[in-house]
Amino acid sequence: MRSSLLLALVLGVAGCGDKVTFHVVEFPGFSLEVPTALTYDGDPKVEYRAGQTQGQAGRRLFVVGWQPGPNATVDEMPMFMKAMATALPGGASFHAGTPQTLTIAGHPATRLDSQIETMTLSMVDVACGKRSVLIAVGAERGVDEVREHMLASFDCHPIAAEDAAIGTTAVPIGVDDPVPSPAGASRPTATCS
Amino acid sequence: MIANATMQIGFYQIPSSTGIDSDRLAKVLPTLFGSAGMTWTRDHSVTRGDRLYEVGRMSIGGESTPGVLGLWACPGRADAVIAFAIGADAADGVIDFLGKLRCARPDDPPLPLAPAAP
Repeated sequence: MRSSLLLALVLGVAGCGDKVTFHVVEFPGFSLEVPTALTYDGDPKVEYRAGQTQGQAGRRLFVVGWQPGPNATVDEMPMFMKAMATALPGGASFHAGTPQTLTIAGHPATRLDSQIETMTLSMVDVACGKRSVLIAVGAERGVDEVREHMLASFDCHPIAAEDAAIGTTAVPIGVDDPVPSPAGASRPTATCS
Repeated sequence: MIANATMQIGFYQIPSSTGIDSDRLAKVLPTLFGSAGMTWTRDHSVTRGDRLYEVGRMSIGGESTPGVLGLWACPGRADAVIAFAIGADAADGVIDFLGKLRCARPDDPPLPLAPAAP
């Protein structure tokens, strides 16, 4: 998801453009008022665990994504950005700001603003039940207004049955047969999830 | 994470593997490891079905160990799994082992693995 965001930036959508208009979109287990260029028509059950959608208005980029687990910490956010920056064209200037913690509609969140060439990329990762929701806005101007408009509308309403299903899988892998031993070594043991 | 006497494997769930190919993995991994104070040196890549594997060595603090990173999408869902195995020289054996694992399903029982010794 995050790599797709950078891909869009690499393709050159950064910049300024026309006035942004908004509409409310219902995502799996949460809703947001987002720019009309951003829509979601995925299967809310299939994509409950994780998903992503992105849109472009003028030369602004908007991304909404979600995944299992708590929101990124202030230590993790710069690492994500640093890893994503490898997708940028050689020589592109990149500077990550200082991550900060905040609360969005009562949910813990982490925000990190970065500068890529002349574009500002603002990312907010907010907790929602057993998942986190990443909201990103990239543009040369007006990033703060669009981001705050989206965050003010954030409504987290997890689907209990789907959230419960996330909780039953303590590890992301499963097996259909008894676990074999790799390379003839001793049987592997679980040490943590 | 699972482990035995020769290797450790960590598993990570990611939202999507769409658009990630061997070239992109090869480009991102050094920086990803570097941001955690480690060095990743790629040897080669392996594709088995729709699963991608990167084979190389991970170095930290002057110590170097063989490593295999695997990536596979979860059928019928948007998410994917990344597995990172270190410590075993036989990359083919590690890839065979990882190939027998799948994404977790909501109704899965606990993994049939022995608990780690305290």
